[in-house]
Amino acid sequence: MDSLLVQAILLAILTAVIVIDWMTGTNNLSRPIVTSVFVGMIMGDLKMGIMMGATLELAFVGAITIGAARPPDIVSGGILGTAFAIATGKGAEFALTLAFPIAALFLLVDNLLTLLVLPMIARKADTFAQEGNLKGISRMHVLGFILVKSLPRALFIGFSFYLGSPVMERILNAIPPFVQDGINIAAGIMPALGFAILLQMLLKKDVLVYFVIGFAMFSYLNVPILGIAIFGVCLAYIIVTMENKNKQTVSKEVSIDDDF
Amino acid sequence: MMTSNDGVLTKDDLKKICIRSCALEASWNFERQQHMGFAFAMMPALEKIYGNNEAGKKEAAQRHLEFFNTAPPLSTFIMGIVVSMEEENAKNPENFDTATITSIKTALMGPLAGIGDSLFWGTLLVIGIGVGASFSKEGNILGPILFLLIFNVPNFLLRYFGVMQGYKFGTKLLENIESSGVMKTLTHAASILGLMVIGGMSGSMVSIQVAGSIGQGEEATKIQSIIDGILPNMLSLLCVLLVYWMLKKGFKTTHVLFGIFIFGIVAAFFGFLTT
Repeated sequence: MDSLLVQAILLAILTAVIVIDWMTGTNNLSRPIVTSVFVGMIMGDLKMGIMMGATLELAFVGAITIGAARPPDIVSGGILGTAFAIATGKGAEFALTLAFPIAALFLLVDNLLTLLVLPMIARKADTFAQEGNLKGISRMHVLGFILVKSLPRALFIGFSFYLGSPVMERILNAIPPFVQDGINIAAGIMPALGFAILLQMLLKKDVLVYFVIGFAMFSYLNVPILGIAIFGVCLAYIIVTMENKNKQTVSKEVSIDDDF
Repeated sequence: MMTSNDGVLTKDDLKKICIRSCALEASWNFERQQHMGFAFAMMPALEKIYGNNEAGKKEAAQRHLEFFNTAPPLSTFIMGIVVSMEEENAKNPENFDTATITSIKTALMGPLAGIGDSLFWGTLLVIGIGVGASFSKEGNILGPILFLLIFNVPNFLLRYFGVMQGYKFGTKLLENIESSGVMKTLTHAASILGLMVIGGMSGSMVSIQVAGSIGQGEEATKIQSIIDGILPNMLSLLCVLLVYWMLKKGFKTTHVLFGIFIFGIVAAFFGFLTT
């Protein structure tokens, strides 16, 4: 076997394993600063690997998961960036220009899988819940991780390294921009479904107004969610205290001690 | 069997929740986000709490497959509270309104996500990268090691104390639940808080932007800014309400899921929405 193939296989295995990051406490094992150590070992230059880790990590530092926004695929970007840097020996910037289109292409694949495939696995978990099969739910959770988060990424990185950046860039360019945009638009709207399912449980006519208050506070006043919650606690306290006072005039037995 | 006020859960059961909480993000998805991870963490506790009560078990399992998203290091605090409520529900089902569990979960996940994201991803991660990168730049293996320690020592400590404190807090909250009116008060207060948070999150987490502008050259006004001028996040709200209405009308969630996907592609093709 040629060394390129061996390296590609090892990088794929590394990827499949390193994403246990999300299984073991979202502990950032899959960030470039850590993966670069292992990539360095695989590529036969540990020191260069560690140094590349610093460069790539700083390049990705803005890519932080906050709320619904999703960063570019930092796992594949970090692993391939380090691997290309050592393989070509042409420095970090050149390596990044090779790795970036691949990370962008994988983000597309990942978005598609998290958008459509994982919810299908989740529906299987829903069925298990209706049957009271709790072990089944746990199995679906792990299956979702393997089938969506781990394996596709590993295969993708292995193939990308083996085929080289130009091939992957051609694939990325062959995908019409509206498909990429469409996936991102759908990903932006999709949480609406999650909220709607939740609201089915919570929304009743007499409390609808609080949903509106929360929305209006965020939208017009730009109050962050924590601020809305603080107002919510106070409002809830005022309302239940008043309600209980009204009741107390009828029966003196009701106690109004600390509910919150 | 469960007559005393003491719960069935032991410290070991809570530790198990803490450990299983580590897999919270393993099946993250756009629709319900960390829901399977939350359920995964709760499973052994639910199994123990409900024992042979199959109906209760089924309901609880379905309850915890609903939308959930928070900062993972703080998630166990919510789990601790929730598990104390599940315990109370199993003990005392005719007096307990399970909607309260969902309300409390919802009310806590948003604010804790805000605190946790800025503490962990906004602060500790950045410090970790700063310190780690300064060593890594020299090719020193201490770089990645310090990076992991700076982030993860607080991460795992908070997970442990979170579940313990959450459980304690929840048990205390439910102490007087037997006396008349307390459950009703709690349910009402929790739903007020939960709905306010979910109202805010509907604006902050559902994103949809109209493309294009009216007028030409310097006179041009973006259509999105006209919409924002009327009601910011109006389209996010409409999306949530529309989907809510569709589910009420009996549409299957799977169909809505694919519907949103196709809508996204079509909207991008004709260019009336943008990212």
